[in-house]
Amino acid sequence: MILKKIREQKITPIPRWRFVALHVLLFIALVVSIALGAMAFGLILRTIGDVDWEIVGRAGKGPVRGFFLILPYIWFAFLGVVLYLSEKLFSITKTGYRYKSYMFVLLSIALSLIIGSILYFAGAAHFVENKLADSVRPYAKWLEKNEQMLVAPDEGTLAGMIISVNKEKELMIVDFMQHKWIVDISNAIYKKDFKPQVGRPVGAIGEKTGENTFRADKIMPWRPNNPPPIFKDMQIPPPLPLPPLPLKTDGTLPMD
Amino acid sequence: MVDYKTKTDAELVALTLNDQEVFLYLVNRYEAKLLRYIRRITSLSMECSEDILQEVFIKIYRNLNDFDQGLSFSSWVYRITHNEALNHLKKANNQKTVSLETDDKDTLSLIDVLQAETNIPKELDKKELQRKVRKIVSMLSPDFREILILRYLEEKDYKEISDILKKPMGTVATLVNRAKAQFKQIAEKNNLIYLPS
Repeated sequence: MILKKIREQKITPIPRWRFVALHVLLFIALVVSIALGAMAFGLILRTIGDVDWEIVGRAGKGPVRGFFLILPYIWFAFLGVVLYLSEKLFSITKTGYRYKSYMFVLLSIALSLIIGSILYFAGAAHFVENKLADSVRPYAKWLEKNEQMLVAPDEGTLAGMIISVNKEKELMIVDFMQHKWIVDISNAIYKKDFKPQVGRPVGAIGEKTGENTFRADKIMPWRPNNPPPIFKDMQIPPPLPLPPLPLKTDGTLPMD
Repeated sequence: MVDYKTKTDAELVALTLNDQEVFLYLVNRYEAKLLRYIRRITSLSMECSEDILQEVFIKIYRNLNDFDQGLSFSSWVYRITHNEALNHLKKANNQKTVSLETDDKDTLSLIDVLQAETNIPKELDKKELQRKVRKIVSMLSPDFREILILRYLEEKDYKEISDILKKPMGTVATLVNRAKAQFKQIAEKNNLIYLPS
């Protein structure tokens, strides 16, 4: 009776190539999901890897709070979604069901960590982030907001771009909120081989001394290996007029 | 003259792909087993079960090129049967607790096994015990009922159950233990069977 129905309805076996194509697609989807997980991890490293933790601690009013302030939750959420999808994809492969879910998830996390780290150190994460910022405006805004969180002059932190240098005694910087500052660096400790140079991103720890003045105790390059996309959009405004140098008691200028 | 009855399942699959008529030998080999399995897990009438069985064989035939020799043919057809039967139940919205449609032989097999595992007193009247065991098994959750059917009525080993249900072997072992534990719990809670501690 079954054969009769097969003949009547002209049922034929599905061609083998369709099953092969399906399995290949599934495999590709699985590899892509693992690659996306690795990229997400690379972007997480990009956000937390190059930052000065002293600034983060000061801006966040404590190291722990600062750490949670800077975490890129969006990429953690993306990583979670991708891990979930890759686990589901793995479970429907021919032999995937034979393994417990947690084993595959652990393996995926390990792969994301290893490949993500390679992508970060190779500069690929930075490249991807810049491309994303260029093409997805809300993402660029989110990145800006993240950098702006570390600008807390009242807490003693400042970050921005150098717009002028005055004999290694003062810098003028424009911060990520486009405010201009005169930063006294005459007694600052230079961290990480910092060299004051116009156009360089810079971070400073110290004390706000006025409406647009800041005394730096420590000064360092800001994300020296992977400057955030926000710097590309920053215009170097004309510097503020420098205050006159105080005259010596004999009426001559200090440099005379 | 080829004696198809002595061919292995895998050989019959390969032959069927060249000659449709050979599929009949696979049908004959599995129809009774699969029909019984469908009735056990769905508790549907013979007529409905036969309809499902027909759909199962059509699905098996259509998907023959997907049969992977890394899996036994028996596990593969049971898997298709299991999925088809459950799909049918979902469509008919019959997933609530159903009475287990087993014959006396099935229930006695279950009793023999469970007697060893749960200390069911041997002196209980057989008929009464059958009635009670059937009731308890029907009160088990569908996952646990299904695992007991595969393990003790279909007599599948853990590897086969793993391949049929597409779950890891460790999970299968855990499910079997939990099914037996739930059986014991229901039996005690409903005073259906006194189980001495």
